Amino acid sequence: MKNYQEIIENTKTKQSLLKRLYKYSSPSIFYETANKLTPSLFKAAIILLSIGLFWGLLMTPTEINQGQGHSFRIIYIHVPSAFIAQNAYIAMALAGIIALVWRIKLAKLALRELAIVGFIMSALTIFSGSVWGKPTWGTYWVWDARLTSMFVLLSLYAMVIVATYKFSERNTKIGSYIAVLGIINIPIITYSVNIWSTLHQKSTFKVTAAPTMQAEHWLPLVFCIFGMYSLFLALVLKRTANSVLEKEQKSSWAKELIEKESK
Amino acid sequence: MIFSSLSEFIIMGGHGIYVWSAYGFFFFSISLITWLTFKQKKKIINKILKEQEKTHE
Repeated sequence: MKNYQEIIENTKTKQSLLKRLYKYSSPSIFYETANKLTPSLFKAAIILLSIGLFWGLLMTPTEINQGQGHSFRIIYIHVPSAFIAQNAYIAMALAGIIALVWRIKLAKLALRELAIVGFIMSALTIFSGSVWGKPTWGTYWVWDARLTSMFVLLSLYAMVIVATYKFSERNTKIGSYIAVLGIINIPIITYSVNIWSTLHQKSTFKVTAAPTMQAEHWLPLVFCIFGMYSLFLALVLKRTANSVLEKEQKSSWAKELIEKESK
Repeated sequence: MIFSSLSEFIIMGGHGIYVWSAYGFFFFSISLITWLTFKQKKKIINKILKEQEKTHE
């Protein structure tokens, strides 16, 4: 008997969760919520990134054991960008699955915005990585496993942007398939430094383990990572909300809003 | 503070060029995308209004 009750309770909570999901995926409520959240997310991003970057640039002592001088300060850009570049891809693939299976409009619209922001993040990772590589490895670029898989990530983002740039059912489908199939690249990026270790060093900073760096080096990095997460969320929410407004312009809430804004 | 003078901070023991190009590209691209994102709404509304005018004529 107790079991049955538990099952009933479980299904009840699941239902309300689904209901909530549906509620927030309704265009007008999403638009309102996203616009309410973005100002504080942008503020958080500015504060966290300023603290992290000033700290990293001015206060942290140079890493002696790696012998790379001041160029290690690039880590405060490189690692946060790389984190977001990968996680944005996972989010984009999820949006792709939701768009293909449940055909939720919000997921279709989020696809392109995630691809745009993810593209910038992976470009930042690659650029900061190669100017860091020059003084450390003596070269800007080699086709090492980690670098190649990051290049593949950048190309996948580019493909999704090209596919979904103009919004249509067919374009969303193509973009979603690319996003979902490309997810195979994510574990390749993660494990590339362990399996084919050629040039890129192993990860020294993980969510799951204590960092191997000293606190004075990784603490500013934590600020930068949270700052970049806030910036990423703010950009994606704001951009998706904007395209929701564009797509929903015929509905009453959007008409009202446009009229109010145009006065 | 690690650096004793401004020039030392800029040169960074010969690594300044790498550090500053990474930070420069970073600030340039995140500012650009943020600026474009903030402008986007106005652009969309203007576009919608223009289309509405066209259909009214």
